[in-house]
Amino acid sequence: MGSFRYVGPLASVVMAGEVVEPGGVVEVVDGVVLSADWEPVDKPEPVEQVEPTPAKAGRGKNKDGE
Amino acid sequence: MCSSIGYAREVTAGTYAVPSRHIEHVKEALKFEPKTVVSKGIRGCREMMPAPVQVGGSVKGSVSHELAPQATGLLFEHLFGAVATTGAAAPYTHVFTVGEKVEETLTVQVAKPSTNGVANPFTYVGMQVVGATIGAKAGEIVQSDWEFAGANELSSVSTPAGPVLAPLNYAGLYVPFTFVDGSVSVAGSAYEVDDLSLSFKNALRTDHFTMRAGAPGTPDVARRNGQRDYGGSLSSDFFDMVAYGLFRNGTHAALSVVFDAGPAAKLTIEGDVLFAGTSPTVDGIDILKQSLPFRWLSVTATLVNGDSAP
Repeated sequence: MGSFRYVGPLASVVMAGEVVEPGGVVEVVDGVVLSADWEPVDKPEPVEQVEPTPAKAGRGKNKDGE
Repeated sequence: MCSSIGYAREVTAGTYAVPSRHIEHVKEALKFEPKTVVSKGIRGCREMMPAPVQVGGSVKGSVSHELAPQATGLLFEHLFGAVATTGAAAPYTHVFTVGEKVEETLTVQVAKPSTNGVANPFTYVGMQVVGATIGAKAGEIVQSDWEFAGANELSSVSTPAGPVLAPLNYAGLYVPFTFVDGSVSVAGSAYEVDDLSLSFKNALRTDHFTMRAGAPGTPDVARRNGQRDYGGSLSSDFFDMVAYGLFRNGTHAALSVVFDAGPAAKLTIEGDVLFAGTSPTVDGIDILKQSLPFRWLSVTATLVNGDSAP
């Protein structure tokens, strides 16, 4: 299965039995050749957890200005 | 019965592009026309004609659609040649004007079902719109016929073999115009008609075979050869002498044909015309009829729909 987003000019199209508007995504079976009006939607890659950079100490002031 | 017709702009003239726009059709008659040559060589007492040699071929024929505002902009663009689209969001306005379409072609793919249960894809490449007819009649849906000429027909038995049937992309909403959407104005005044036909003939030189590397068995891209013949005819009751006078006096008049099915579904074809009518005749006891054939001297088509590009 693959996901494709409709980027064509028509107000809406019917693909795989669904009415799809520009920006809409459908699932189609593998091996189907789609036109340039359809762009593949990449599966979201796992987001790498980045440790937040600890704030440097001693540079700021608290609300009392100390 | 499973049949479909899909269109796509070709990036390179004559090279298949995956159809991305399918339009409901009523009938089609796209055909491969083989080009053959027959030797005149005399060979002893040979009585039978030598076998013709098929050296290639071309494509001719027409497609009929009930005319809807949705998805048909591409056909109007390739009929007229030039288009300007405006609108940041739906509805969009596409204004088609007469202009050159040089080396710009379409792929047209038709599914033709056979009794063995196969929807056979017949893929026509290098297709150009050589003409069109729009017909509207009181009580009926507006019809459009599109005349094509093209370079080649590819199928499962052609060499090279044709592509598979592309997934069908019909407009989510395809609502053809009907006669109740139609209105006509002549010289700025509303004019009631029983039926009308609009005819557009692009003067394209088709079937032009040349000696060239690449694909000599297919015709060259058709180019304009002469002047366009755009015209039509209005048919109505014989109301008074006004419309007849436009013909009789050779007056140029503004003609506007509008099909209006809502704020995002409107087609206007307008321009200056010269009427070439005939005198009304008394054919019996019935109401007299007025036939007003005309020739477009200038014409613009404006299509308003929800498509962001024609």
